[in-house]
Amino acid sequence: MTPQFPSAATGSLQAPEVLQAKSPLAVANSGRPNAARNTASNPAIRFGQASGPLAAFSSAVDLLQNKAIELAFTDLLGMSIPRSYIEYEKRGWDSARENAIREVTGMLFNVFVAGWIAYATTRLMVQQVGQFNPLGVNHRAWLDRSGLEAFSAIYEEVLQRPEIKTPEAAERAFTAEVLKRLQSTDAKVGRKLVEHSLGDALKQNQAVRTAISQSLAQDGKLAPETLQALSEAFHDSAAKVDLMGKAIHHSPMPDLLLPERLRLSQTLFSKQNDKHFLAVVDELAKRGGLTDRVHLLNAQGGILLEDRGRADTLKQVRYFLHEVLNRAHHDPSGKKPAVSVSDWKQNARAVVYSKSEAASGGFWAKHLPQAEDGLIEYMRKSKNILTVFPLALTVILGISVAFINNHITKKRHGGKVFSPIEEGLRDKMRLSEAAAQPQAKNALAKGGVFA
Amino acid sequence: MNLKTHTPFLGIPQSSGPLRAKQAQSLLFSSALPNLDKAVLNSTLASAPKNSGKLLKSLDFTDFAKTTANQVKLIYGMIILSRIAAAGTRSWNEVRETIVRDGSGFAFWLFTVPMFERLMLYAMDHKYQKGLVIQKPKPIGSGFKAALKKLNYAINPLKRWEAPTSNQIKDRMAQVLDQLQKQGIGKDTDLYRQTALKFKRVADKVNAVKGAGVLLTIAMLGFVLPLLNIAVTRKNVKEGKVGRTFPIRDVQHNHPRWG
Repeated sequence: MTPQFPSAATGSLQAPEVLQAKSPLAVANSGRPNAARNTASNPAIRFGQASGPLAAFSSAVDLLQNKAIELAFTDLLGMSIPRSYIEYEKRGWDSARENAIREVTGMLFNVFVAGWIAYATTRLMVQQVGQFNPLGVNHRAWLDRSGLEAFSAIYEEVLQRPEIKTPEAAERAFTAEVLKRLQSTDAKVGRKLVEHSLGDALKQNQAVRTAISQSLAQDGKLAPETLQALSEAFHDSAAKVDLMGKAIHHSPMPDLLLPERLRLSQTLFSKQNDKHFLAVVDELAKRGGLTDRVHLLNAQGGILLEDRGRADTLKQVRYFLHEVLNRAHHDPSGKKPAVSVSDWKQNARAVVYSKSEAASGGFWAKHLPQAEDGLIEYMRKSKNILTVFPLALTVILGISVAFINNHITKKRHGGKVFSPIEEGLRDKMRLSEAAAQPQAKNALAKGGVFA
Repeated sequence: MNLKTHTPFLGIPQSSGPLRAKQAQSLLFSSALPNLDKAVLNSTLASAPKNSGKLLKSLDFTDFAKTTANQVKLIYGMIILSRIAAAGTRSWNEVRETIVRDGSGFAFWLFTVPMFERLMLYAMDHKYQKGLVIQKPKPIGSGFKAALKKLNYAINPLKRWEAPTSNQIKDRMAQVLDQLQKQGIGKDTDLYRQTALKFKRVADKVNAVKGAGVLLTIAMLGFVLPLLNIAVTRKNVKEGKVGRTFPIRDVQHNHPRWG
């Protein structure tokens, strides 16, 4: 069975058969009569359904697998809501208001705001093809610094191989090499888990045991047949950008085509298209032996990129192919046609790794991406802006909240500087004392500390 | 065995600029690229960019516009410092409360769930299961750095034990069930369902432990810390230790030299 992948002509994606089939979770509960579903003694009944308290709790916790959601959830239910209520009960309105503002904004700044600012900054910067983005690189196709360096190191290893004669062969070899070096983070413990989780009947079935052992013998890496299918998927998805790269390469005025290339890249890497592509390759990778979290290994078997999401890593491989290697192999500035193997390899190296003369120039040339920069340098400069600016702005906004909170309290009480955690507590203590002495209660009700 | 190694750019160990470029050249020339124009390659690699600094790398977005855990630590750390500074303008009780509340909050909010999860899985594995956790090799070596690593290994469950996430368990389940189907054990067989059920139960246990960690965090952050703070502040208010000056006043009153 050969899965179908994005067509170069249409860019459309068709899920392979493996995705069209129902998942094991769905299958385990489908097509069974209601009577059988309700039989508590049947172990298959509870599987996949939140019927027991543990399974129900587990389904709820599944929502927290995303770290950002987990942090926001614990912040809201731990720091914002109960604390504000306790503050209101024990120390009054001012203390509760300060807590609510502090914790809700804290949650937003800590978990979300840097990402939102980065999103807006990237959108703005990407469009500045002539100024801040002279090469028209689509930064929406995000490659982080570690990923960029790891992939470019692997690309250099590929270029050094004598059997690599053409750019296409280099792209294929690069993809295959990266995929080959992905290893599940649970390589060892996963094996132990599988061995433990097989029932007695399966343990006695020699054929099954052998098949599972062989699949686990990949040591948490992709099976060879899946590796081939995945490489094809990446190659097919790169075909459309490849056409554009060739057009730019042979154009007399390549700069004019850069905005067009950017538009194509933005369409290809739109959320919807990414989702479709990843649905295919991620499922293939999963069935082929990779689990949810992976390492990227170096040639010696050490860890090059540690503990990454499988889908994120696959996505970055695609981005590297489109935004770095495609440009390296169809460089508009390399005017002379690459006639020999050493020529195109040299051109590719220059496009990817070189550092422009401008980089040794003034402040802006050093810190803003230049058209003459090699792609690694270009992206690194861009990322300095796209990471440092959102973080700095978030920190500035975040640290201002405490002072704004103080200012609001001061303004609400006619310029009086005091701490609501003390005064509120004192007020509540007086109220409770007054409750024991009715004549004092009336006096306090008219004034109070904050009056 | 995977040993974490520092990854050099282009596979070349990091060192000073010129030396690094020389290493790159010798590495490339020693390999099979006889037709390269060595002068051009020389200049290209000599001007190759250096690696990004460790700090910038650790603070980078790993996915587009999604805040990472390291960024959260930086932002929250700075916010806590600003809260302490702002509290210092009003009252020492507030400074103390902020340090207790946000200092512990930082630790509980960011570290409790994974550490609790790993510790509980180890405890569960020790008593009931065999397959959820394996112990990582103990760090070896001597010197200050090695001693820190050993200490971290001794006290940090994340460094000591390796455990799969519930998503990884589900992925393993899918892989094993695929193999069963290839061996003719169909989806309608009891064997298939029982195997799936076994994996699902393990995933449920891992999720339950994570959920317990989240509930513990919520209880500590939302109830224990604020009530503890309020109790201490109430005691101070009763004793008149309020405002910005009370610690100095307290020292002056109790210190023999100041009478």
